[in-house]
Parts: sequence; structure tokens; C-alpha cells
Amino acid sequence: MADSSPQDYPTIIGPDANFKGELTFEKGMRIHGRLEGKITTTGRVHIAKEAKLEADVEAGSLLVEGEIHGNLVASDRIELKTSARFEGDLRANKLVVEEGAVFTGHVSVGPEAVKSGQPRVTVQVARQPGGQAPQPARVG
Amino acid sequence: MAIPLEPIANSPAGDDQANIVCLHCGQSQPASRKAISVVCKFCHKSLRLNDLPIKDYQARRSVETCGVVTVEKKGQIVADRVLCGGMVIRGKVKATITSRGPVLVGPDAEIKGDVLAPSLAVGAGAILEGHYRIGYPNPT
Repeated sequence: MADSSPQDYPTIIGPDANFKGELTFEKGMRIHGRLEGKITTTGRVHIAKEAKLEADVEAGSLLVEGEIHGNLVASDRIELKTSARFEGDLRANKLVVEEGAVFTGHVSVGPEAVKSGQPRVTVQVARQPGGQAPQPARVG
Repeated sequence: MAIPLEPIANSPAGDDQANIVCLHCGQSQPASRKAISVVCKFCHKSLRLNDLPIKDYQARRSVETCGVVTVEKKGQIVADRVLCGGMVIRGKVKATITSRGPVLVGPDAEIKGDVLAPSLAVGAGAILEGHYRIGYPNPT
């Protein structure tokens, strides 16, 4: 496990904890347990070796030693340690991968990746029962 | 970097020979350490065995060798695919990379294309774009 002081990670989800939902915080968090949902922070997230996540994570920086299914976005850096298991898309300014890490997904790394990384808006227009697609509304 | 060839155990000519894995069919076979190329005895395709340093711009349809492809700082590969025994990237690569050995990416490297490798090490600062599949059993 990476060395860190308690001030770095004021919030800790313990190994016997099971969390479902959306988490928002400012400083840092270390996860040892299971988490399902979404994490949004400008701070640091440390996913410990025994942690299992099914979540989309948006953070300042991410240190991954455990298992994640979901998309990761970091404005600064993502570090995948030897024990990391990750499945999903990844976007970060910097990426550090140690040999032995297992991951699959689309990778977009570099200063441009974070800048241009606005969420894509997809609009789906459902067909009406008559068979014709609805006409776009006129403006002005 | 050394070629990832393993000496054949209990072989009378063990020091002179090494096991190579075919890039195309994935079968292992002995080959002389001095050989520059061999024909796979299973799929009958030609295999280059030497390391390949890339020091300048090279545009090719494909780059194939059982050795290690090293793209130096001023090197650049533009290809449909790179099939290799290992890869060290300090320059730029625009290709689909399939490596049977580790892929090492320097901090100033730039890779555009999909990467399939048993392990990956990335230095902070590298620019990556593509679909990555790392740490899974080798493809055939």
C-alpha cells in the first residue's frame, strides 16, 4: 500500500463496508470495501488492494490497487499499480501503469484528453407510432 | 534490451538455441540464437528474430519481428500494425500494436492506436489514445 498520512485521506471506507450511491467530497478518500455508484471529487481517491468498485469516478488524482468496473476521469493523474484490475474507459492528464496491472478499455491520456473531455451529449429521438420521425421545432 | 528468448531446458545445444513464439500462430519452437529469421514450422510464415531500432520516420504497412521494437526519441512509426516480441517507445507511434512481451512507454512518447500486450508500463507525461487490452493471455 502506498504511504500516506491520515490528512491525505480524511475519509475512509473500511474493508467491511458496502456502499451504494453517489459520493462527493473535497479532499481525499481511501476505499477498502465495496462501492457501487459514482464518485465525484477534485481531490484524491485511493482504491486499495481489497476494494471492489462498480463505479464511475471523477477525481483530481486516482491511485488504483484494487478492482474497478467503470469509467475513470482524472484532471491530474491515474496510477494503476501492479495489483490493479480495471475494466472501462480512462481519461487523464497523466497515466502511470506498473507492470502487472490488468486493464481493458479506451484510453485517452494527455493534456488535450482532459480539456476536450466534456461529456458527449447524445440525443435520441423516438419514432412515433405513425412511422414518421417527429419534425424538429421551429425557432424564431 | 535483451530478446525475450528462453534457453531450451535439457537440450544438448541449449546455449545455442532458444524458444521463440510465432507472432502469427502463437506456437513455440526452437531457433538458433544466431538466426536472423526462421520459418515457423507450424504456420510456415517467415519470422524475423532481430531487434528493430527505429531512429527516424518510417511509414510501413506492417512492422513484424519476434525481437524488441525500440522507437527512439526522434523515431516515428506510421503503420497499420506492429507485431513484436516487446516494445520500447520513446517517440511516436501510430499503429495497432500487438506485443507478446512488455510494452514500455517513455514519458515523452505518443501512441495513437490500439494496444494489446501482456504488460504495459507508462511514464507520466505520455500521450495515449486508443483501445488498450493489457495483462490478458496472449492472442494467437
